[in-house]
Amino acid sequence: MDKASLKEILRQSDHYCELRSQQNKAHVLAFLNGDLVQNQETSDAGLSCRIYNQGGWGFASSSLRSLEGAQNVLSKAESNAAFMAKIEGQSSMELPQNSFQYERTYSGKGNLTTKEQVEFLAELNALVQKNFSDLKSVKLIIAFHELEKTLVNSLGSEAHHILPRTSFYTDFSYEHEGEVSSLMGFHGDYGRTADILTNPEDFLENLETQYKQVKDKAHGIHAQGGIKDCIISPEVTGVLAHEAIGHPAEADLVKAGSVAGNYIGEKVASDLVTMVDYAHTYNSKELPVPVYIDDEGVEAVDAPLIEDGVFKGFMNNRELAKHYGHLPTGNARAYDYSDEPLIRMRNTIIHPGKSKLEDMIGAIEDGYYFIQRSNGQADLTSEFMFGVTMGYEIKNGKLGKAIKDTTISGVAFEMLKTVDMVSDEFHVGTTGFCGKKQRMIVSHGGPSLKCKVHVGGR
Amino acid sequence: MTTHIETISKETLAELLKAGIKEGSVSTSVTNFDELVFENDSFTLLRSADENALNLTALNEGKKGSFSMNQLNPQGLKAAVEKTAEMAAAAKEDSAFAMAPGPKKMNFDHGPKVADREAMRDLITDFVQKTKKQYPEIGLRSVTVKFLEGRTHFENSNGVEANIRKGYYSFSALFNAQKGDNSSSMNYDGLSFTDFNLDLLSEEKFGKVFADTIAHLDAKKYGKNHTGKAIFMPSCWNTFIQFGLAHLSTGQLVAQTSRLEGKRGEKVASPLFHLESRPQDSLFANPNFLTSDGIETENQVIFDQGVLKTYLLDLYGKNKLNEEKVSNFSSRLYMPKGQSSLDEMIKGIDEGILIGRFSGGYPNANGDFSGIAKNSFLIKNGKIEMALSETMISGNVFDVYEKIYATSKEVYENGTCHLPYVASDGITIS
Repeated sequence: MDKASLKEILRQSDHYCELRSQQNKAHVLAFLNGDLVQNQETSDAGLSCRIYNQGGWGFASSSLRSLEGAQNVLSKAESNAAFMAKIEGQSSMELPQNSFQYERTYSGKGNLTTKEQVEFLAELNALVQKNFSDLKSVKLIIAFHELEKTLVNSLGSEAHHILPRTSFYTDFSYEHEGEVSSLMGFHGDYGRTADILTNPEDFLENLETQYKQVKDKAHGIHAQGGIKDCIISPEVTGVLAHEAIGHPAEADLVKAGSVAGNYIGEKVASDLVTMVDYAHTYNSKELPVPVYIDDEGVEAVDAPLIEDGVFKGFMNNRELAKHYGHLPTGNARAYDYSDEPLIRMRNTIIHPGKSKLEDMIGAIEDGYYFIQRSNGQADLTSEFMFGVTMGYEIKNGKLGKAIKDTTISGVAFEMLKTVDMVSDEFHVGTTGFCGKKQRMIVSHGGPSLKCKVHVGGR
Repeated sequence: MTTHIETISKETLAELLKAGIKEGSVSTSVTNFDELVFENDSFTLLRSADENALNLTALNEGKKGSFSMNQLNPQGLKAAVEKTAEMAAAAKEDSAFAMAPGPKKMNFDHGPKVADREAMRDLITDFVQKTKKQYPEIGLRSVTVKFLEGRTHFENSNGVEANIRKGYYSFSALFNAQKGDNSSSMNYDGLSFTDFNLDLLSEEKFGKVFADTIAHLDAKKYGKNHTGKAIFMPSCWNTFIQFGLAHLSTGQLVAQTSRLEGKRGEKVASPLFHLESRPQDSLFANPNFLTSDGIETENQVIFDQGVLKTYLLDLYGKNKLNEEKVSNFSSRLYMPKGQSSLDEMIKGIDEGILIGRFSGGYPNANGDFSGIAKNSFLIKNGKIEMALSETMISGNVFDVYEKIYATSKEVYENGTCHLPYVASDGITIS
C-alpha cells in the first residue's frame, strides 16, 4: 500500500498511531557435496498498526494488504490499546514529537534467477572439488533477505525504503585420524544477489584460506583453559561489540536492569576503545545495514556507546528516550510486518587503532589469536561467551599450532579495560540474524584487539 | 464440510499440476495470536495478528522447488504457482526427493479456539503479585502470555490430506534477583499450556528457579580446574540432548559428519539413557502432528537403555541413505523419571557441579563442547556449597551420554518436554 492510502486510514485514530505496510522476501539455496538440498523462496507481506493509549501499546497486524485490511488492523490496534488503558495502575507519558520523511529505492542490479544461482553454486562447487579434493564434506549456501517498508505515523513521519542483504556461507569438513573438523566461512553485504555474487572465482582466495585453516585445525591441539593474553580478530571483535556491549546498552534492557544503566560517564574500557552504533555511514562510507529512519518514524542517528574508554549512552526508542531524558536515536526496528518495533542495533563498530597486527602478535609471549567465531551470547551483566571455531596459539611472539574449537568468556566491561593494543585493520560484515524476540538484520565489526580473555580448555 | 483453506490447497495443487508439475504439495494455514506483555512494573503491549501462509512444493523428475507466501488472493496464488514451477525447473536433479506416499486422510484437533484475554491478564497479575510477596528479591523484567491458534490444510499429489487445528497458550518470564546494588545474571523459563489451572510458583515451575536465581546474589568464582561429576538440571539436559540429536539428522548423516553414523542398534550411551519422542502425547500442551513432508508423526524410542534405536530422517534423508522409513519425529521429548532423588544425587558427589543452563558455542563435529555454566552451583562433600559465577565447563557430549550414572525421581514438564535431572561424569570445570 502507498503512503497516501495509509495516511487516509491513520486519521481515524485520536491517539499516537503508526501504520506500516511491509514485504519481506527470502531465497535460500544450499549445495551439500554437489547436491542441491535446499531451494526455498519466501514472500510475506502485510500491514500492522500500533497505537499508544495511556501508557500501553495496542498492536495488530494482518496479511490482508488493502484498505479494508488497513481499517481492520487500525480498529484492532485501537481495541487492544483500549484493553491496555483499562488495566489498573498504568501510567502515561507524552512521547517525543520527532518526525522525519525518507524515501529510498534500491539502485543496484537486482537478483540472479534461481537457475543462475544454481549455476553459481555448481561452478563454485566444481572449483572446490578441483582445488580441495580431500575435504570430507562441502556445504555452500546462498541466503538472500530483503525488507521493504512503507511507514506513516500520526506525527507526520513518512518513509519508504528497501533493505536487501545477500549472505554466502561455506562449510568445510575435513577428517583426520577418524575425527572430523569443520569450519564455516561467512560473507555478507548490503545488496541483491546479482551485485554480490558476481563471479565464483572471486571467493576462491577466501576459500583457500578456509581450506588451510580447517586442515590446520584437524591437526590442532586443545587450548589451555584460563585467563590468557589474546588477540581477537575483527570478526570476533564485532560479535563482542554487538553481544556484550551493544545489548546491555539497549535502553529497554537498561530499564530491565542491565549493568550499563550505572555506567554513563564512567570508565568502562581502556582509552584505546571507542564504540558507536552507526545508523548508516562510517568514514563517509555507507555501512552494510543503512538505517535512515526507524519504524517509529524517527530519524536514525549514530549512538555513541564508548568514547576513549568512557561509557556515553544508550540506544533507544521514543518511549525510553523520554524516560531517560535523552534524544531519540532511531533504533526502534521490526523484522516482520507482524512484529512491533523493538530497540535493535544497526551497525555496531569498535573504531580501529594504530597498531600493526604483526606487532600485536609479537607482543604476546604465551597466548592465542582467535580468528573465527560461531555463536555468541551475553547477559545484562555484560558477561559474554563466544564459540571460537578457528585460532592459533601464540608462543614467544609467533603464531604456533592451530587450536580446536573452544569458547572464550569474560565480563565485557572488565575485559575492555585490558585492551592494550588496537589494530589498524577494519572489517565490518553482516551475516545471520540478531535474535531478541524477533530476528533482525544487523552488522558489526572493528579491528583486532589485544586483551586478556578467559579461554575454555582442557 | 470443505473449509476455505482446504479449497485453496486443492485448487492450488490442481493449478500446479496443470502447469506441468508431476508431483506437488500445498499447505495452507491461517494463524491468529494474542500476546500480552508485562515489563518491569506495568503491562506494556497487547499484540494480535491474523496471519496466512501458503507453502508450495513442486517436484519434476527429481528437481525440487519450494515457495512460501502469505497472499491468499487469486493473483497471489497464480504468481505462487508460476514461481514454484520456475524454481523446480531451475533446480538440480536428485532422485532422493519425493512426496509423502498416499492416499491418506488425517484430521487433528487440539486445544482452545479463542484467546481468553481476561484470564491472560489475570494470570500475569496473579504471578506478579505472588512473586513480589514470596520472592521479593526477584525482579520480573518481562512476563508474556501468548495464545496461538492455527489451522492448516496439507495436500499432496499422492492423495495425502491433513486437516490440523491446534490452539495453546505459552507463558514466559525473564527475571533476575536484586538486593541493593547486588544483582544476579538474567534467567528465564517458560511453558506451554491449555488450561489456566496452573500453579506457576510451584517448585517444579518457577519456584525452584526463582530460589536458585536468588542464591546467585552471592555467586562466587570456582577458581581452580577440576574434572568430575556433574548434575544437569532438566532444561539444561534438554540442550545436551539436542546436541546429540543433531548427529541423527538428515543433514549430518548425509554429509557423513555424524558421530552416530552406522551406530543404530549399538550401545552408544549408559543404560540409564532412555529417550523417546512423543509428538502427539496428551502430556504435552503443544503437540506436533505432521512433518514438513506431510507424514504423520509417531511416538518412537530414540535411545533404549543406551542403545541407539533410530535415526531422525526426513523423506529426503530416508531415500538418500536407502533407509526404510521416515523418522524425523524428535519433538516432544520424554525421558522417564529415575530411581534417585535429587538430594541423593547431590549427596553422592564429593566435588562437582549442578548445571542450570549452558551458554556455549555449538559442540564441534566430534561432540566436544565448552561454555559457561549459568545459574549453576558447586557441589562439595555431598552438599550445595555455593552459587557459581563465570564458570567454564567443557567435555564431550557423547562421553556425557556414556557416563550417565543416575537420573532423578523429580521430573520437569513444560508442555514440550518431560525430563529428569541427569548425573554424569567427566566434566571439566575451570
